[in-house]
Amino acid sequence: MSGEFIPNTVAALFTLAIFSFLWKDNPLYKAAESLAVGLSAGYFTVILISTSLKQNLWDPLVQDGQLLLIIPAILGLLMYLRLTRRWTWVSRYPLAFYMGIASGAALSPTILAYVVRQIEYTIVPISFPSFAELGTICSDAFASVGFFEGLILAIVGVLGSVQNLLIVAMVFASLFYFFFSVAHKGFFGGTAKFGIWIIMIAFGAQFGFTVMARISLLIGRVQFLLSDWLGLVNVG
Amino acid sequence: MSGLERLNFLDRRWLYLLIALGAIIPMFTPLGLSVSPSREVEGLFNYIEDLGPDDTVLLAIDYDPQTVGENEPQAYGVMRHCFERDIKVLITALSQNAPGMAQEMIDIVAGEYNKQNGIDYCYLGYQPYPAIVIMSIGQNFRIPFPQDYFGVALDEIPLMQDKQNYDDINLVVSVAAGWVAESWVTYAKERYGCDVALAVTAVQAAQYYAFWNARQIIGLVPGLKGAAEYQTMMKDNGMRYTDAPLRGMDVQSIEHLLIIAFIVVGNVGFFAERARQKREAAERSAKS
Repeated sequence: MSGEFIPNTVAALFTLAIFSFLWKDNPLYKAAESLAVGLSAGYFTVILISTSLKQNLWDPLVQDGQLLLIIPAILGLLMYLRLTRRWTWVSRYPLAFYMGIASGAALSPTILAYVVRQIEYTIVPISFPSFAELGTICSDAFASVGFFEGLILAIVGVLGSVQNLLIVAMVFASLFYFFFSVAHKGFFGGTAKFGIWIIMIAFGAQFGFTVMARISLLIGRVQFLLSDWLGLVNVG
Repeated sequence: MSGLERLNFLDRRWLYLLIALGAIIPMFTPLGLSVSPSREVEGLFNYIEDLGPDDTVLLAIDYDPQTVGENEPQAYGVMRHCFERDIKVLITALSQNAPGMAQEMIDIVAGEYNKQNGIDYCYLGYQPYPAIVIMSIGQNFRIPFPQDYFGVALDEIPLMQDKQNYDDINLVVSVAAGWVAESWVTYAKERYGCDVALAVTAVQAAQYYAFWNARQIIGLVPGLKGAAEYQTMMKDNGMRYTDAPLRGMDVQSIEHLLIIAFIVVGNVGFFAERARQKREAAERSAKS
């Protein structure tokens, strides 16, 4: 018997217990769920004590004599005054300190990553391909593959050649959908409708990726059960 | 009630059964469907291909056990690829449940390539508050990680002698299942200018294509599909690879077809039910 058989069997039984919820809620599922939550919380607590408290505070303070660490230690302890009724206001000071530092440190790179860079790559030159260029794209697409694949490649190629125009139009329309200062009628209504279509396509892509993710997790478990546990298939 | 209308009231456990069969049967009879690498996965692969023994990659294990099905093949693939190229690897585990899994991966992959701890790789382990850790590395690895995972001071580790901060590494690859991936882009890339690649769950991937399009990341490995593409490139280049994600893509394709079929069938049932309601309403109004 392999040394991994017992831990694999335990893992497999808990996997099956969790899957049993698909049939209906039952005590086995509840037990497995509670154990997972408890284990996770316990593991996290131990990790936090050994890193945050011991490695980052206690050892440097006691062994290396880094007395400055007393300040964050006191600030940390003050947070717990939140649990008292009389001194709860004191806990706002360390919280304000923490929030101030976190906001200050995060603000600039966050704006850069999520706003400036995105705008930068949305402001793109709009160019239209010439008929000759479109002809080259289509002939290249049909050159080496069958008709249907060629057709798809040609469509993708033509859309790609006006990609910048599409980006600008879609960003503008999507933003316009959330602009409520003019009535969404006529030209504005059409633009807003185009915008909501683009947003729906984005949601569709997100949904597709979510389905793929959930199926991937199922695949991982099925591979574990059939290969690692039962040894019925060899998935290397 | 017609057969089509009954579809609306089909017990969902039948669907679960079909999904289960769709996952199990292809495991026994692989279809061997081809997997074509996408540009975003090629971006990471080619970047690592261009690195060599003097270069260093920071591999961030930022996922929990819940998503091993997607993230584990990605992490193993990137680490194997680095060792194939004799690249030095630093490993962090900034998700609280990740340290044990990272340790297991290092033992397996380093064992396969006879790589030595402290010389070919260094496991820095876990520190709380990922964003602060990522920012601190920009100043010096020794601020968030005075010691490695095993308690050895970084200054005593040969590999870390010349490693101070992001300037001394070539790339960060975050294998993530949460917002930690974004922190690497926000701080390591945007604040300190270090190249970053993301290997993330498919749920996150749709959102992170914005980073790829804005060239904020040099590569994106989305979910199991991305892992399969990465393994395909390793296979094509004669490297050690695992076929688990490739086999998984057979299942993925079948399951997607099943789900499309469910959606079509569900809609057929919906329209049949609506037609019946309209018909009944018309009959009632005709009688009255």
